[in-house]
Amino acid sequence: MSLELFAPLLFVGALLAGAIGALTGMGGGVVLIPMLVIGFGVDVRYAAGASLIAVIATSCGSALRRRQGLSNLHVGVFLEIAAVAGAVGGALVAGLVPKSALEAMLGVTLLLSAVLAFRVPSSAGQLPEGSDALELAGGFEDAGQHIEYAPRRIPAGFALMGVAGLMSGLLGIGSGALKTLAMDLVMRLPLKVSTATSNFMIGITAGASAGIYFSKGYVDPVLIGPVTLGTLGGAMLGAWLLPYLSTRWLRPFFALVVGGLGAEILWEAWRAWHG
Amino acid sequence: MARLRRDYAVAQATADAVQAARRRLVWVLVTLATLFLLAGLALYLVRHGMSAPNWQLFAGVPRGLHRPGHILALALHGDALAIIDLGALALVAAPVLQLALAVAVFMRRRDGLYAFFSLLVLAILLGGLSLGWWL
Repeated sequence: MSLELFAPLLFVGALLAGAIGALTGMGGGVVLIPMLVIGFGVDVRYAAGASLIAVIATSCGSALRRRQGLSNLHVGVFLEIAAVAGAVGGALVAGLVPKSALEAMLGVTLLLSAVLAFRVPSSAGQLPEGSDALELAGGFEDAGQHIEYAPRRIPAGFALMGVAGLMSGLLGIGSGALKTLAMDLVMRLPLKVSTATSNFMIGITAGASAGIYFSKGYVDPVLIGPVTLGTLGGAMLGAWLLPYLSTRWLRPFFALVVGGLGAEILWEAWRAWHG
Repeated sequence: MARLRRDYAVAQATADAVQAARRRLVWVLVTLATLFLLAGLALYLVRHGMSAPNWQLFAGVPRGLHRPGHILALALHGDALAIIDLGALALVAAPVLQLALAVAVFMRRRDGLYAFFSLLVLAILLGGLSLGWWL
């Protein structure tokens, strides 16, 4: 297929992936990568390079919004210590891992992201207890009500952020689902705070792998041109459409799609391993 | 408790200040990136439109497109792929500048612990970039 046909198709595909990512809260990468790998037959490493740049673009897109929600900067910066360190490690290891193993990890991550999309958010918002040596506690006004919260199980949340960073560096995703899970389910931060803080974090985590991805030749300009433009447009389109669409049905539907694609990639990797 | 609440308000004000500055910064970078991506892609399609992409086989991008210095030099010579990469580099600059911004805001607000933490994140981020680009 010639590039004159391929580039517009990639652009439209990335536009859809960006919009779906924004609408479902799954993020751009977990929709974009299986589309590139299965739909366009792109090698998983080129797909990771394109996705990494697209994730940074998505995070920039969310930073442009006027209402960015209740991100907790202290929590974001503190947890990002583990996430960037994990991302650098993951990006370094990515070059040593065989292609089929990368695909297997991608398949598992996609399945996991699909399962997490079905999870009922705990959204507890615990009252502060004990000391707050790291100054991670916060408070906000929600519908006229003053809500205060303090994170629980900080070491566990910190460790999970390291894992999220590792997956980001290995696969070129933003790991937004895993980050929200760590803050919401493990550290028991209110969901609104977890989501907004995760949006702040994913671009920084992805940025940590960029130099290594560039130097390994993962970042193909011909691919990232249409993909990044499409994702940027899609993320803005998704944010604009969000108030008009029912995410109640979109989320489970696309979670099933992503899960199915993850299962297929896992199956292909298994066959490559044994065949 | 009243004192604590005021502290949360201060934290929220810091977050808001960072967000507002971040929005202006990101707006410039996204505009730059979009222009470079569009220009480079248009140039590439005009010059090489017919060549079929082969992304099934991983061979790696040509070495001239691995480091910012080389990319900039090629872009100045009108290389279409390097111009696209320049757009990507504008986006990569966003997290670095955002963290530098956070360090500055925390320092101005005399939040020493978090000025240090954001400096630490910035150091690891720059370390990761250097591992790929300058070592």
